[in-house]
Amino acid sequence: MNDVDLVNESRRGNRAAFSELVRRHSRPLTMMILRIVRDEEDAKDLSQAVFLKAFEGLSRFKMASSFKTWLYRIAMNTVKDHLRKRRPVPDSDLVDQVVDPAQSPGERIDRGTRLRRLREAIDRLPEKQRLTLQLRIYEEMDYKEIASILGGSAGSARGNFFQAAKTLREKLVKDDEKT
Amino acid sequence: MRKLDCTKAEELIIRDLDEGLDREMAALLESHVSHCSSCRDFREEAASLLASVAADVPDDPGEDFWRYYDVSLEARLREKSLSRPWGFGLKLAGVILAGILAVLVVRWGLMEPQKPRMMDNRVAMLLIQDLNGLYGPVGEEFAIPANPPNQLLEALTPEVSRSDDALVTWFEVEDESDDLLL
Repeated sequence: MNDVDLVNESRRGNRAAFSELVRRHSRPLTMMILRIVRDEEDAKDLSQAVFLKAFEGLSRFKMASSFKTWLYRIAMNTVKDHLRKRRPVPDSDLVDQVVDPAQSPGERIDRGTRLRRLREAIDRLPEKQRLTLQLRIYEEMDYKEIASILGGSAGSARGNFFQAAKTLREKLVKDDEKT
Repeated sequence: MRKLDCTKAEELIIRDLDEGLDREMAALLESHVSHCSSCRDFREEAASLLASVAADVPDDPGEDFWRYYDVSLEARLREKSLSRPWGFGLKLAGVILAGILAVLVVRWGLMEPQKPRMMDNRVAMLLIQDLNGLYGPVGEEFAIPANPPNQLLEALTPEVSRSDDALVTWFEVEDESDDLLL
């Protein structure tokens, strides 16, 4: 059964059909959220919230887009709300995550610092630029797909990506000059 | 051959790193970058930046995470679907209740109040005279003056509607008595 059939079955009250939709989409969706929020617990909660919203709103899904696009659109709105509320990630967490035994302690700290600065710079990007960058790089979505999830046109998504990359580069170059 | 300014070159550099450029655009960019050190630096930094972002990917959380994810989501969905019939029932009850109230309100609005219909004093007088004719004149205490005040007539007026069974029966009785007299 394809997603459309499963959506129709779910609408008729078939819970097993919705479970199958969850099984198909939960891992990629949760990983996408995890790559954006960088916290497993938050990613789990947000991803589950997305499926619960989808379950409740299935009757309002007009099938104008694919189920996946609709689901990812719900996910992006849920993630945006979360990002607006959430506290900054502590620095120590970032350094701990990037330990490479081949690196000297000095290199590790350098790399950790650079990574922290990069993530902070990404966090400070305007919402649409940030999500466009992440969907493009992590999910390898084309601009048309990104536009259908975040809204706007493929051209504006391409523009957001360019602006995000340019802003990040300027920010990191400035930081390098300071240090 | 067209020339690029640095702003346009930066845009093409990002696009090249992201999606790639067609041969003509790539040649145009190379020609610019070959004699523009600032754009060469921009290209190096942008390439390093995008590579860093791409490399900074969290690991898969592991099977325990997914097992817990599946179990807890399934439980939450079950809870949601169990609460759905009640939610639907509640909505249905609300609709039915609203419907009943609407019907009552409409009926209340359309219904005429049960007011006494025989408020015409002349009719009341005729009735009293008929009653006197059938059962004899009423006692002095109930005697009606020649020109009774309106309040008295209203007090004596039977508070019945035209459709009242008692009144209909009374007229029928009257009709029968007339027949008997004849």
